[in-house]
Amino acid sequence: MSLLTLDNVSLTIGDKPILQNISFSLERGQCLGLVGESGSGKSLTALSIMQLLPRQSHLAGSIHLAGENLVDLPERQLCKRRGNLMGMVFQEPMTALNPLKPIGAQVEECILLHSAVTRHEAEGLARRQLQRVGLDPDQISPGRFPHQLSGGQRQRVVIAMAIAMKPDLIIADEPTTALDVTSQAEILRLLKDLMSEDQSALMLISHDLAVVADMANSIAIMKKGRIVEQGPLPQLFDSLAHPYSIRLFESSTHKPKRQKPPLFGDDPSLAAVAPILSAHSVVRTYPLPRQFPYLERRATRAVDGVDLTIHKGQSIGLVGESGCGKSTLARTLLGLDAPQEGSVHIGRHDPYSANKSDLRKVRRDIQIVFQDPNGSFNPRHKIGRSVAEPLYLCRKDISREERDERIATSLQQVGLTPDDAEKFPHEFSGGERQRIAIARALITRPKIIIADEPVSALDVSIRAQILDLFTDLRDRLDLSYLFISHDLSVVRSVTDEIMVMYRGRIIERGRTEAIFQNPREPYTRALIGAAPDLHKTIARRRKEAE
Amino acid sequence: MIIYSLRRFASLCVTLAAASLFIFSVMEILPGDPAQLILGINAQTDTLAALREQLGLNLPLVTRYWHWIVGMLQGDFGVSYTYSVPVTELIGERLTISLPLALMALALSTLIALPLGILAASTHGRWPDVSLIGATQIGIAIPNFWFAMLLVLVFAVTLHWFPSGGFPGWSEGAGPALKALLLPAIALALPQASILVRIMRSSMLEVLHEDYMRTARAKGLNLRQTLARHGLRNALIPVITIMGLQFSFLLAGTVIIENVFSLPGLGRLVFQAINQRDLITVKAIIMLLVATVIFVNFLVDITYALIDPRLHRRQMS
Repeated sequence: MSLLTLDNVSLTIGDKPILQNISFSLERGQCLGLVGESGSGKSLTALSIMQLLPRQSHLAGSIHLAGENLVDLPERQLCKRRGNLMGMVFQEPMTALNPLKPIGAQVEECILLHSAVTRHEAEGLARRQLQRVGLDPDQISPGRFPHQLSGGQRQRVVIAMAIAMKPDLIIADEPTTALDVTSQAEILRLLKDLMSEDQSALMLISHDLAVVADMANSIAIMKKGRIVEQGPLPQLFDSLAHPYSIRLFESSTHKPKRQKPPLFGDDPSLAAVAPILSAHSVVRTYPLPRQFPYLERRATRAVDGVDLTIHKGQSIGLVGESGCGKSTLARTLLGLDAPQEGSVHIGRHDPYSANKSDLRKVRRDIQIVFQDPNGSFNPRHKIGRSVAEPLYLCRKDISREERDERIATSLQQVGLTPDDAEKFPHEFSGGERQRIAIARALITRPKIIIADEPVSALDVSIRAQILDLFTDLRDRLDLSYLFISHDLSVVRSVTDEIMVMYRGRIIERGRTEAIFQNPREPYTRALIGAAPDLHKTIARRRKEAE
Repeated sequence: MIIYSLRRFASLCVTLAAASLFIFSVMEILPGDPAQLILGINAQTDTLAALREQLGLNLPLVTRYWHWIVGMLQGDFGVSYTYSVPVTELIGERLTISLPLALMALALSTLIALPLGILAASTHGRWPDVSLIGATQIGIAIPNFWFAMLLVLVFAVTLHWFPSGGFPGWSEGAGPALKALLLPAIALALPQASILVRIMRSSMLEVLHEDYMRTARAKGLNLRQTLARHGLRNALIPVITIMGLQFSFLLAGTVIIENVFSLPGLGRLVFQAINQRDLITVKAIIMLLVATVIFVNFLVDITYALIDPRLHRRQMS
């Protein structure tokens, strides 16, 4: 008998059907990957198993864990199972821990709850669990608070709590989505090791097929509350039948097609023309808070001597893990955050010393697209108004007709219709909103767009569409890009050259393919090695299977 | 933590000094000669001059400010112009009523509000929540003097459980004194509690949606344990801010309630002192109240730090 069996599970919240006829089973020591776009019901499937559903939920069908139907159990019994027989790891390590309690105490709590040990014994056990997840108590004290740890370390604490009682089942809901590639690789390895040590089953939820392909023994693909296809890995990848699964697979390995040839910085045609954007030995430091009033403040160097030039039509990627200074550099280049040393030029002008009218010209030429398409619009403004906002940079006396025409053009350029200008942000999906954000950047007819993690918050299929859009716009409008991302596959698919940033410095730069094929710096090598690659993973799995 | 407290304390001292300077200046700018006030309009010029000399009114401003500050630090606020007794005595006597009254009202409102706020949040949208929201609406809307009169009518006039007003003093023992303060404390606590219930409720509701609450449930804690161990402390932070503000108000913003119950408290003293232009008393009371507000804020800051380690601990890694 399987450890976990879901049989015809359907869930409604209020009157809304959320899950329909979900059935699957999972054996001890095995890993099941649950994939699908956001909103497909992956997380609610997990919460159904944990029986932590929102109010007014109605669950039909049966969920058997170790022979017991969890659906019938009263709350008191469920509390004894949660954290004990089944542990859960959540997506957001930054918010999954209580900020007011030391990490050791949070792990201890779980142990004290489910076993008859003294507080002292529990403390020892908690230390052991922290040790197991790679947080050596001698180096990282259990007395630390969550805010004193990095995202990856916090996720380790969450995992330590989930595995503390050696549960039969671990549910990991997008455990690495919020993390860098390097932390992601470490966390996935850790989950794998713990699973085999404890012989527990792992249900891994992810929108990233490459991650699932690497970890799972079997996979279930969800769409709109139903499982459309499931089967063992890697075999299922050969026989994907449902159009949705095929689309998901293709989006995951999508490479936008480009009309124009790549343009490299050493192209002879560029030697004579002035660059659109250049930075020379840029240093941006941030003062740390004073330890005590009147004491000298120390500073961190967020950007430490960066040089770069971008010509018309070039697309350059900037990669590095979070906190390496990518976004600070972007702000400095945009003219928003003056560097302490070095200089920035947009066209011929230095945005930090230009006079007002020059500055407006400068700002018109450089625009930005941010990561989160949901938070970047005023919900009470119509789309037209939001898109037209940067227009003040152009001319003050812009006529109504011209304004409307420009809005219409921008919206059409990103694949929307002029009528969309009359709608409000909530009427659009996440992908459409990112299109609108791009339309807003395009309205001033810029020469260069800085895209700061523009697809990180999007599902794979939408991500593919947006990357296509970026490529297409570049071909049509001769735009330049500075593409900032921690996701190497994204950068690889849309840039000609990349720069690798580490602790404020550019440690390696060159043609994208050359660096991916043959990275010189160990850090770059680690970054590339840690990035999940669907094709490679499948090839490896097939080999293992033989 | 020690550095944090020292920094807060330093800022407290600076604020106090600035406040004292401001109060002193405003009192100087106000028209009216205390000597003239004491002696009346028909006083002789030389008597006036003599009294000015005696009160130290002829000294330079800086010296007088200095004397005032040094005096206060030694507990000497000067002598009241109207009552001719030391202001310290005057205030001290009133504080024996106002301070316990404020503390009682604060304790009552906290004891009522926190559990009710938590109850409302944990039954969000169902009848206990809905009825509590309705009740707090009424609690905020009712003027507290009217509620005070209602309390007197029911519990003093009809049921004779409590005295209808006046204060027997602490010399008779704590029992009668507390009994005399209970009705006014309830009248004061009602609107405060109504506000606190709402703050507690919304703060708790916000915390309930936090990810770490879900993590706690996933560990196997039941709803009550989750609320108590992980929710409460996180939800208390905004509540403490409001409580700090409320205490400062309770100490002297109670003139009306003191009048209804004819309690000789601090609120009434300010009222009388202003009416009689007893500027030295007014000055002392204002300084005292400002100091209380600043000090309570200091306590609130320290409490924050005790609750939330992020405030005083620096990144260690």
